[in-house]
Amino acid sequence: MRLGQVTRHLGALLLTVFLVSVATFFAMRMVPGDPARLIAGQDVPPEVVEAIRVQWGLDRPLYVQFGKFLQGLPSGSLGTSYRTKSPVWDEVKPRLLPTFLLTVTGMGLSLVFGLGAGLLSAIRRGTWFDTFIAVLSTLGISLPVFWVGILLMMLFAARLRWLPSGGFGDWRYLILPSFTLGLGFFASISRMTRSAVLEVLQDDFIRTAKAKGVPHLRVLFKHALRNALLPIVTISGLEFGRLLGGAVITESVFAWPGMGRLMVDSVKFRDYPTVQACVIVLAASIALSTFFSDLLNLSIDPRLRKG
Amino acid sequence: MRRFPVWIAMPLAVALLLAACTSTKQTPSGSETNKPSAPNAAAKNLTYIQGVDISSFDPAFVTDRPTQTVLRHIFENLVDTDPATGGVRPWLATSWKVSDDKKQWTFQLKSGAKFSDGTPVNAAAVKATLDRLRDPKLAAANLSLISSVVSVEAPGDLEVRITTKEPFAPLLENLAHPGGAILPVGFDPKSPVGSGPYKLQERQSGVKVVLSRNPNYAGTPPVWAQIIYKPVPEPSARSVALEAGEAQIVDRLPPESVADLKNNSKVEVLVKPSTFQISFEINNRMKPFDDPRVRRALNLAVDKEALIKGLLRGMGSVPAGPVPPGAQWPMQLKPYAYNADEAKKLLAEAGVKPGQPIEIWTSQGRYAKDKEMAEAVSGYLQAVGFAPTIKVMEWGTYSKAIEDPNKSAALYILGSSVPTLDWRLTRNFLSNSTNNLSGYKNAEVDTLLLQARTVFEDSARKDLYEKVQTKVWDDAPYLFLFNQVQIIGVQKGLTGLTVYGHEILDFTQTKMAE
Repeated sequence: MRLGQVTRHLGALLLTVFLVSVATFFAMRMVPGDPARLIAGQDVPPEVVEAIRVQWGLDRPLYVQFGKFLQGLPSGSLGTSYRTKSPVWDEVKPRLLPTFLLTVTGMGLSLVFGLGAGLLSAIRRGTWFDTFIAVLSTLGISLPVFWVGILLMMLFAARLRWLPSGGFGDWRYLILPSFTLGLGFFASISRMTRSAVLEVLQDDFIRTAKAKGVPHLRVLFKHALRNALLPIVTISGLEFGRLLGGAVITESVFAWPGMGRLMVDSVKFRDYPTVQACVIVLAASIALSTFFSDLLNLSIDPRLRKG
Repeated sequence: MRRFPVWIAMPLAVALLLAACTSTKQTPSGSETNKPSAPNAAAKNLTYIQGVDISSFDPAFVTDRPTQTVLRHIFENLVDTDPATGGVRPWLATSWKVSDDKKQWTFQLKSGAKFSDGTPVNAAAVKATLDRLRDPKLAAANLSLISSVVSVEAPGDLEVRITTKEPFAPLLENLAHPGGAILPVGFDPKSPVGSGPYKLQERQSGVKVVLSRNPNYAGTPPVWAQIIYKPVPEPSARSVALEAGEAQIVDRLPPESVADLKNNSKVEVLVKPSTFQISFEINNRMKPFDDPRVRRALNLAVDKEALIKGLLRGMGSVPAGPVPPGAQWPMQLKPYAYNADEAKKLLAEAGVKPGQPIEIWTSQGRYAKDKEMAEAVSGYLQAVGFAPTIKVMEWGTYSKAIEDPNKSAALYILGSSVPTLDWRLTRNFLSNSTNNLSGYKNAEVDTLLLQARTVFEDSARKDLYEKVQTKVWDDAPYLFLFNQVQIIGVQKGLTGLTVYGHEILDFTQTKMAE
């Protein structure tokens, strides 16, 4: 890809993030509910709620609020959280690393095991191993994340006491949530790899490669897997973005301080500035991960480069 | 035609992102004191698990109980609620007296009390705290606690004088509210400083809050070197954490886990009364619900005992008055026992025809089994001849919708947790209170409530509130549903835990048996 193309891509990316944040600004304010009341609580008289509303500028017309929001954007100032009264960035920043760690580990595990299982299933088609992986994938897709998480926790934290039940700390805290999060994606990756490899193995060029005496493993990895990888890379790019903000259930079960949880809590409290910041970060991450998966596909598939 | 080297770009981006995030103290800590499966008996630190993350370190703004529990260990008030009598007892103030015109309160402060930064707790600090809370520009959620106050003065170093507009007896208990915590002059919520037994050591958003001993604390030094507060949002995960021995105290356990935990010899489940009473408030402005007979019929038509047994696994109690046990001066009145025939008779008397529509609103997930409660109540009401419809809303939308005086709901679920009676009863039952969402109106109740504010003698004031409770109970402005209980799990051997009715815990004097 040329440098110009990259710049164009990044420009489009910025525009996307901006449009998404504008859409969020209006969408959040269209949802019924009063942030001042939600944060003050039910026991507080309306006069106090009104004072809070005035202080946050929520009594101003929507276009004034929007103007203020736009003013803050270039400097990266996203405002103050209604709930904690600290700058929004202070709330979002500590969530980035845990979110990223969990997503990368969860996806990494499912990619490694999924590709391996899928490839082996394809080679050993019809054997007990193939059936075993098929059963495991079906379970992985159909079992609710919530249930799997609690079950793993009961076994490894309460019964065996090998791992902590939840929270954020050293590497041991990462194991249960990332396995739980990765299970669903493992299932789809292994199924996809299996069918893609099986399909490629039927192709003429594989027969040619075999005929000219290319070693078996080389055929498998260099020719078959490489071709099977294309859809997997695309899906992984999308999945990565989805998992960043969409791991709410796993995060809640394991008390993991991720962005998904922060965002859901902020929506509940109508904490507009925090929701806004989360959406901006997530939109940027999704756009970036799609961008990188495109780049990765280019390097895997020479055909794409010519166009 | 040079390509962008992906194998360089990808790891580079990852590294950049990581570098951007790791500059905070969010780096995974391998702190020795915090091993997940460390045995509890020998621990120097107390770990407490609750459902939500702390909302703020500014007492003026905090309205949620979990945060108030944490703040209780950092800050002190002038006076404290006495769970035994429902009255107040000295805390930073050793004594107080009221002037003859009952508008001036003079407090004497304890000498020698210090904030964790070493500065003394004096009259200037008290004045600064209350003036800050009163300042409309701060727009504090707890502002209404002292809205009766017109001035705060510091005539002596340890003497504070508070003047109110009118004689206002409840001021004392309002000063015991967590929102009235005494702060140093120039308080900064980013580095909160109080005079309590602990001070803030560390906060990791969504992960934990660590409190360590306040070296300047004037009282008996607390037992635990540190108190570690962890939010675990999922109730069943909290019960696993208790079984895994990861915390000495785990709050808000799910009712479903109680039976299992009772079989576990290492833990103990405490079931304590709560000031939280959940009701379906009745729209008293709407016909035919403006007739007390109809409202009484609603209370008789629902088998609350069965709801508590079936939906809450027995974890709750049938209301026997508008003020539940655990609050200030509750009263045991005759519960509205389930009697569908009596309910039908009352409805017929009041001229309610079978097929009378009744719109029920409920939140989902705000109160224990709220939506299920609405469904069950709707079934009971149908059985006595109503034609119920249910509208389920998310809390944010719901809390706004119920404020509308012309709402179409006849019944809407709402809990009340205020422990002190002036605040609890006036906000709900005084006819011109802006928080009176049901539109309940009884001139006699109004008179009694306002009179109670001018009575400074506890037992006389208590009598007035008992009259209010009896009248309200008889008028049945709400369909009183159930009294919540606090389900707290502790490791066996833990003693000395103070549980307040309004769901605040005090760990300062807890000990673990060796």
